Amino acid sequence: MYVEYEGLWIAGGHWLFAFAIIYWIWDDSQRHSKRAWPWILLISLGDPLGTYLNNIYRYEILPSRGVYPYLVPLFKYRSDYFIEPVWILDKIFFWNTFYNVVSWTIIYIVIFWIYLDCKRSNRRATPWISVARFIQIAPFPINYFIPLGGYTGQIFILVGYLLHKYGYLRRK
Amino acid sequence: MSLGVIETGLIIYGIITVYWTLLGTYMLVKTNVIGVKAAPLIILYSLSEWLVGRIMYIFFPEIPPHPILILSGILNAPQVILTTIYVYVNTGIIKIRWTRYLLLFSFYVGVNRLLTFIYRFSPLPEVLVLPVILSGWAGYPAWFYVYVKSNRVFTYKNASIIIALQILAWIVPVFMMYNLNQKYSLISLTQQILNYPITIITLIFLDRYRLRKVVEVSSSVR
Repeated sequence: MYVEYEGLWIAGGHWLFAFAIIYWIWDDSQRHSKRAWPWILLISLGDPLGTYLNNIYRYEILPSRGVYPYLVPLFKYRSDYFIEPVWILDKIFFWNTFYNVVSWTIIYIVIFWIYLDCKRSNRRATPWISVARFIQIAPFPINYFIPLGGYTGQIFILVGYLLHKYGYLRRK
Repeated sequence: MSLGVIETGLIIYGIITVYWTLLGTYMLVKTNVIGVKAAPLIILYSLSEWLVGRIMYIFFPEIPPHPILILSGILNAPQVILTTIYVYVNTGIIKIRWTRYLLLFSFYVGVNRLLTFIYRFSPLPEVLVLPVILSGWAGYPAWFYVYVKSNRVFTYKNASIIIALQILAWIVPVFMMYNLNQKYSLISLTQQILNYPITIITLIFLDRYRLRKVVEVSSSVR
């Protein structure tokens, strides 16, 4: 069952988008001679509180607290232990994988398109790119107050950008 | 031939990795971040980094995963260069001599990995805290070359303030670990927060340097 090996299932290649986004912000700020640091900082905050909470349960730390995860043999499926059969967990697992691929594709394409459009029309792209990225990786508990992860947030950003572009969201 | 769970999962995640790599490289080429000739290299690097990571995970899942820690730093080094120094150089913010920079940076990666190897049998949280702190000093030649020597982003005085802040950010976790007997979760939180002032100051100075240069160029054009 796939859910037994969850630590193995990490997809590569995401760093290329982080690379592209950092480049676009600096490049855009250079072209417009504007400050970049607040926008770079916004997407470089990391997740201190999340790190704190995750490290409490980090598997290397658990033995010092009397919990020995590696003494537990590899997960064996016993139907009487579970309310639902494991194949349902596998289905959910693959559905989440598929949903993530679709969702992040939309996220990256929206950011990419905004950058290209701003470059073409000589507009400043940095605030849009930075906020679009920030809402995806917002640290805990900010991500609970701004629950705009997934492609929903990008729809907000895209609509906001288009409204601004056509003069609806500008200060008089 | 029927495939097992691991083989099937790896094929699916391999396909996803190829997809992200191709999409990311397309965006990088399309926006002139990298040239067409560099694209195959980036694709090859990104795929091999993922593959090596997965192979390491399968063969060395022990606690803590030292071979992974040692190799991951070496594999991540090109990413660190691309997402910082390459961006600064290519967008015209700073100028460097690549050979000199790469030699200094390789020295840092070498010391960093050597310390991880030396400390591989240390208890937790030492193995997670000490190699990072002790190898930190080895990063300074490259840092100093880029920001102080090759480009006047920092004056010597400002550079020394940042170095002092960094030393403070190293001392506090050690003090928390040995004198206060704090848990690693709290140490890791403190480490992240203590790095904020250094990041902010570096970014502000980089911005000031960059914008000052723009003003100088535009006034010389007039």
